[in-house]
Amino acid sequence: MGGEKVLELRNLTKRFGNVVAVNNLSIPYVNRGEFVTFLGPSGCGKTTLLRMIAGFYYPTSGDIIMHGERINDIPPEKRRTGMVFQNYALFPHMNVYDNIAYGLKLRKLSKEKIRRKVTEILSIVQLEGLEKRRPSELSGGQQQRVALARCIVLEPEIILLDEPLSNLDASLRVLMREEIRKIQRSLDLTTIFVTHDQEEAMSMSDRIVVMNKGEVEQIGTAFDIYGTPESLFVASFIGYINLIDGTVKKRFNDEYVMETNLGVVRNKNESLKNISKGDTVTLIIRPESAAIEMPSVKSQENCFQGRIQNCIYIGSVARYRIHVEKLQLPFVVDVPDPGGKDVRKVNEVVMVRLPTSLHCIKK
Amino acid sequence: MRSEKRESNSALGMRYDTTFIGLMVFMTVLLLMFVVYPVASVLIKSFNHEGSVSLVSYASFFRYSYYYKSMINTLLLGTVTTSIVLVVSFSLSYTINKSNLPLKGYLRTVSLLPLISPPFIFSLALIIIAGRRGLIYQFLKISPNIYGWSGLIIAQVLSFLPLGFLMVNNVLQSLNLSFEDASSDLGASQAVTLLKIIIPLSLPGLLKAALLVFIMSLADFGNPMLIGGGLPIMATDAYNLWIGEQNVEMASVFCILLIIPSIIVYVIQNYLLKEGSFVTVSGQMVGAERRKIAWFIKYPLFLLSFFVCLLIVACFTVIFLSSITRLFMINNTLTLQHFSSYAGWKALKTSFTVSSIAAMITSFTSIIFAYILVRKRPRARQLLEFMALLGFAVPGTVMGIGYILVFNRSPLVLTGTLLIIIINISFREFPVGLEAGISKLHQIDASIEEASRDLGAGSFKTFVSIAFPLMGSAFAASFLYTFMVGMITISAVIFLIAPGTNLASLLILRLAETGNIGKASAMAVMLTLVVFISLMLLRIISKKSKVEVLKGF
Repeated sequence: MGGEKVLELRNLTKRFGNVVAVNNLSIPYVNRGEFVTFLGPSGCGKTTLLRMIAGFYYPTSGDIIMHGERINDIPPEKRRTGMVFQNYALFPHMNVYDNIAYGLKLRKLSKEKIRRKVTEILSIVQLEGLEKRRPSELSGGQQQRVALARCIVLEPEIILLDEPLSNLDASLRVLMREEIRKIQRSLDLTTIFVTHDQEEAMSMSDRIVVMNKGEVEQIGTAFDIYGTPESLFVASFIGYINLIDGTVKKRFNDEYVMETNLGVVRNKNESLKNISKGDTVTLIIRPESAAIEMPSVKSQENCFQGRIQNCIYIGSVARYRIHVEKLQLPFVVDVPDPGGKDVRKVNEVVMVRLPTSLHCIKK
Repeated sequence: MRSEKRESNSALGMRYDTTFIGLMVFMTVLLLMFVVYPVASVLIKSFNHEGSVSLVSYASFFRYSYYYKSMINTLLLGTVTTSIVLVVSFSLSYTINKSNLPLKGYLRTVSLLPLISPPFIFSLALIIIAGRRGLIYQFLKISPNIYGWSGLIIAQVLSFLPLGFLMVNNVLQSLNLSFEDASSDLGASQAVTLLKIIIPLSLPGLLKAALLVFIMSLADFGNPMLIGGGLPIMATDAYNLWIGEQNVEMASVFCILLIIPSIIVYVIQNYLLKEGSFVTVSGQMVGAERRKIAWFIKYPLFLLSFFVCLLIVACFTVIFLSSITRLFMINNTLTLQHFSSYAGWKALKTSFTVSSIAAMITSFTSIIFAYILVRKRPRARQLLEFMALLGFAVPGTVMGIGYILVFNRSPLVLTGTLLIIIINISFREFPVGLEAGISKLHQIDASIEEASRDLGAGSFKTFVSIAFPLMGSAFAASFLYTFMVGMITISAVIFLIAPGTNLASLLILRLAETGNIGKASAMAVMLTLVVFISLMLLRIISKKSKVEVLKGF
């Protein structure tokens, strides 16, 4: 898998009047069989970008390159992309069979061949027997499958999914995630998926493109994005974080000593680059990476005192908000399900231990 | 907001799309030729004096009392008719919505009855009731003078009542009941609530209804013709100047002066009143208990409504009776002879053919045009819409005269043919189809068409196999509406009809003018039936597809 480059975006810009929806954005490669997700808040330009790839918008400037060929001016019906729309856009006056066969008929395939292909794809998306139903007679999940089938039956070079799960209820959404990923893997489909749901992005993608205000914030795997965010936006968009400002006082190779509001913090981290003595940085501490200890533990390195403000128990974890002197916001720590034991009370004084390896971003 | 952006900046727009550019150019040419050019010709003609541009005709219009009296009469008639229609509409809706009196269900049905009849049917009925040898004369041996002001006002009020009632009723129904509750909670009596809360809140809606009724009254041709009794009224005077005196310039001046109020009203309607409603204040409608209404509010309003409805029923009854008797009130032998007139059936057949073809043209072209305007977003959308609307907004008399001015000479000689009548009807009703198409398109998500493009269909293929089938209901609605209007229209076609041919609506007018009341009534009954059937179909379609067909008129 991988290797062959299917798509490249070079310095793409799209303006609507005075509004810049996509700003000089580049994605160096999308490889064959790869599942790439555009993730970002609404209005970040991810859908605009997808629609440019599909051919529904002309880029204001920049290039869309597919298999080494610039396709900017090719209308959507001539591009080898296939889109699954947010609202599925099934043709309401045609039944399931005709919806799926629509594109095949346009390609002037023989009746027999069309029948074979439609039957085959219906079994892949598990909709056998529903050929004669109208879209209005299908459930949301079934409509979703028809939309997917209608698109992949044409064997497009890339399939484009525009928030396809947002109209489904929560449990079905999780199911469809796995289903789409399974089909995508088995047919080796190059896929671009647009969503604002970080969990969706994390759980499905080979790579994630985090977008904000029409620009790329970071491209990377789920681990990269979560573990080593390159900007505060990426860090705070995905999951909760504690942000602690600090200054680098000393550095020996990959060991840093930092002066922060929590006191002196020692940080041993090989992946930090471009950070040297004197820099001001923001430490990024995920709630689950810190731990709570008894106050009897003597103050050590990377430990500080706080007072429990409240505790929210949500099953998998207990989330504590801890008031710490000198910090404006409470420090948040997630503790794996304590199962009723060792539950801290409000106003209890505790010690918080930070991990020895911390990610930080230069200011 | 996103879809707005999408459509104005989309690759699916008009750029590079030669098929739709071609179609739009074609449609624009049609509109220019069959709407703008005729109206413009009338305008030019009105400034023409012996071959040069001058204001002579306008000057003599305001110099001779015969001419300007016509304008004063017309405006006066419009004002009086509108006021009465409003008052009656308000009492009707108030009675129906707020009171618990019996009969209110019937009131509603009856007040909507005039919708299904040719607009001049009440003149005919009034002549039967109160004309020179009418019912009243037969019974009481007095002959009231129904020709002129009184007859004209009654006929117009009854003709335009459904329009007024529908609009006012809409306003009252959308009025949030909690305002009333609040008012009475704060200590206001019912009368005070009515005057200080309900009426002021309904005002924008009432004003809108008033404007529409007013221009309907200005454009009305059939009633002044039948029951005007020689009273100078602009729409008919323009006709007489044209046909009788061959005074083309003065007829054009009349036309232009008739257009001006209509244009003003449409501008107000489309630009000023669009947002101007207080009624949209949000909040849940509370299903408050219907409260008791004080008798001094309830009964006067009810009695007025009841009386008017009675009048409508009476009119329909006498028309029906006079169609099935030899000579109503003089020889009451039942007969079907009035229905077996060769000329009548022939005219009905011609009307049917003309209206069907016109309806076909209107529905096809308006659907295509609506698609271009909404999905292809041409820059000149506003202008194109206005051009289309012009044919509808301008009184029929003007469109009639304009058509003769333009199409009685080369390159396009159409006068004397049925084709000119078909085209005229098509383009006058075009905006109604256009509105239906636009409203339907707004219900269809554009992504359905995008999906078709994405799957490999070109823009025209997408229109034919996706958009057009989905707009089927709008197509049917505009077809039926145009057909209905085509069957009963008079004002424009009376100029365009060739000697030797006849349309059903015109035949009724002629028969009534020549005292052939029985035959006229029989024709009116048949025409009413045809329109009634179309209207029923139209209602079914509107209900099923939620396309607003009757919105604009």
